[in-house]
Amino acid sequence: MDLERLLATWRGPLVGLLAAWGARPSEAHELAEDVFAQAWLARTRFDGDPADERRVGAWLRGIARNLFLAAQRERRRGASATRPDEARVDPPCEPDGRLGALRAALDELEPELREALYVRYVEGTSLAAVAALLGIGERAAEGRLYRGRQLLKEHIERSMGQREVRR
Amino acid sequence: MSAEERAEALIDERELAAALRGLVPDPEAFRAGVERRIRAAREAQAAGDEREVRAADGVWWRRAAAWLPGELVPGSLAATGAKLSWKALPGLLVLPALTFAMLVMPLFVALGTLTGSGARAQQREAAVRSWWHEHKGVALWVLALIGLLFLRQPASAGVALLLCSTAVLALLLARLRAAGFARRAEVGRRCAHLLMALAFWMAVFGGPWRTLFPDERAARLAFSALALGGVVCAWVALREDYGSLWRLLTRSNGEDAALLLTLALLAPWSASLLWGSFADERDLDDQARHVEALSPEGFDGWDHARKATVWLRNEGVEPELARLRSYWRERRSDDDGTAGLLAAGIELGFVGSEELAALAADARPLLREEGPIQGASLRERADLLALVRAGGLGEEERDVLARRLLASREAGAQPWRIQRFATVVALLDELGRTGLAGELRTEAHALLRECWVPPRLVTGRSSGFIARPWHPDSQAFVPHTHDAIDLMLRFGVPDGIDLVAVLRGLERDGRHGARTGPELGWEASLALAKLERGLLPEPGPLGLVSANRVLLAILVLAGFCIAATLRAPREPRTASPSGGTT
Repeated sequence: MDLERLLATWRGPLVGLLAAWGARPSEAHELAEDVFAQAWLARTRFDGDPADERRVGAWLRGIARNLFLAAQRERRRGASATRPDEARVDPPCEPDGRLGALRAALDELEPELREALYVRYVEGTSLAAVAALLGIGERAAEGRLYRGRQLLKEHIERSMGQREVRR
Repeated sequence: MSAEERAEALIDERELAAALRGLVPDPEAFRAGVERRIRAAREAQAAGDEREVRAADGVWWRRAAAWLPGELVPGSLAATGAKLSWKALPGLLVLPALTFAMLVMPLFVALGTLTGSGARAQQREAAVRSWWHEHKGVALWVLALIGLLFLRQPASAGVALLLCSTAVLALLLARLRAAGFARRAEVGRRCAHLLMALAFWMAVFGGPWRTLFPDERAARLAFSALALGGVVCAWVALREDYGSLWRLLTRSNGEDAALLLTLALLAPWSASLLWGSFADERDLDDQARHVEALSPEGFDGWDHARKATVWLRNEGVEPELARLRSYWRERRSDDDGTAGLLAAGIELGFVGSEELAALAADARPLLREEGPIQGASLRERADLLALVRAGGLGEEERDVLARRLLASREAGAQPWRIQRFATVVALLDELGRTGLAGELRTEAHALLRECWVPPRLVTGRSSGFIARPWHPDSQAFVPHTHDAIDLMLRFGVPDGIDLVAVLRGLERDGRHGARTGPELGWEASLALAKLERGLLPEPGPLGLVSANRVLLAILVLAGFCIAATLRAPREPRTASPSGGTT
């Protein structure tokens, strides 16, 4: 298993997936780094073909899910120690506008659609990798992306229309 | 709607990328972060530092949690692998530790009282009875708890039952051994009876048993472990007493003769019963082989062949259809009046382009009409399929056909509602009207929720879908569940639908070949394959262990029986008057 290749293929999609689950950008980056570190340390236990995207995607998703839940639990307990990486800050929010409305619309999407869009568009991931990471078929992934983009368009147009009226 | 118009109905991909730009990681910083974590973990490992508790450290706990009934494990333990205090272990093990069982106890009491006579038999019976008197209260409580658990989580209850049986066996053997009765031949006989009884029950009551296993392989392995364990225990026991096969055949008493008969006849018969009832073909190659060997009859037969082939092609497997094509031509030349024969041929690519063009030309009157298209599922309408498949339709003609298809959604008979809906969506996609099809998502979800048959714990009915939910006790129907899965593959899973319950329902219906018939059994396996590959997430290592926990418990039980038999003393020890041993 090649770490460079693993990072290049799955870095963006994993960050997107974690963010879609509700992690802040900096937290999503940290958790994704944890996922890769754990995967790399435990690579001998991966019994599939490293070139099989579906197996690797399912494996990484499982690790990510475990770490995300553990982080949530730590946060709930309020016992998480300060880690050096927390010095990172989230990028400033965009001022209100089309992009802001788009982010708000993304937050309101159904989780399955949001996951697909985040995984796909953070780094322009291939459809096969999206499907592999979400554990669904490519057609289903395509359907989710299509529906998500359609709903976003409707939401944006509605939202921008209301702003125009208020002005 | 043109491709351009469809694109306008979607948010621009560049805008989406811009909105998510804040998430894009810097490759170098990200890589450095990963490497730093790997270094830190290696250093911590080298220093034996356990303070940094991460999920990897909880691997043994996670394995242990996968073994235990999920209801006893703290909510997030299994998922997160967090470290758990050792103080919690007794709490987790309370059920198995309290166990006394229903499988082993009656067997021992019954056999103990049936075999032998005289003072020694009475002493043995007294030892068993005193053991039972000491523990029966707890045993009955545990039985009730496991019974309740069965209603909620059959697999977890199965694990608890098997672990309880193992523990009871261990405790009872210890008591008998302490009383001087546990010589190897006797222990081996009891273990063989227990294992063979379980194997026999598994074969005869296959349905309830096999719902505890994730697939056929696990069920076969479990049966083999039980039967093999039984054979080993019996062989050791009988060899101990008789020494040779001749002596065994000529001098065995009633109990040993029954054991021999069990091994010689019952085990192979049980295996053939169990193997014969499998109809699972979830593997792609199995499905492809099945399609290649088909000789379909009637609309349903051709419809099944069509569904399986289309799905296999979508999954990247191209079955060898030469035999099916030749069979189809034969039926076509016989002027077979089967509804859907021609339609299936068009879908499967058996109709040549010239014939298809001729059929499409004959079907053009469809474009001069309005309103819903007649036909039960629409898939049996060869003229409709020919028009769509032949190509050459103008944009306006496509619009006419799309309008008619949309009007057809609710125009058919109730039993075809789901399939008709799925057909309309598929044909709209083929016409290039994907946007129109996509707009039917809410309606599709409403239809699926309306036709959903939730699981019933008490009656144990199969969960799934039925197009005619006339009353609350309607049973799910495999073909309707299959169509519903097709719709979910296209539109996603609506809220309130439990996919695991659908999976269990299909497994149950598919494996009851005698009740549902071979065709429905095969359709169930096809629907299962679609469900597992397209909708259900692939289980991780923990999920695999958890899914196979009943198998693991059976392996432990069988292994324990063999170990107990081999470790038992060869010669009987004499019981002292005080109950101890000399």
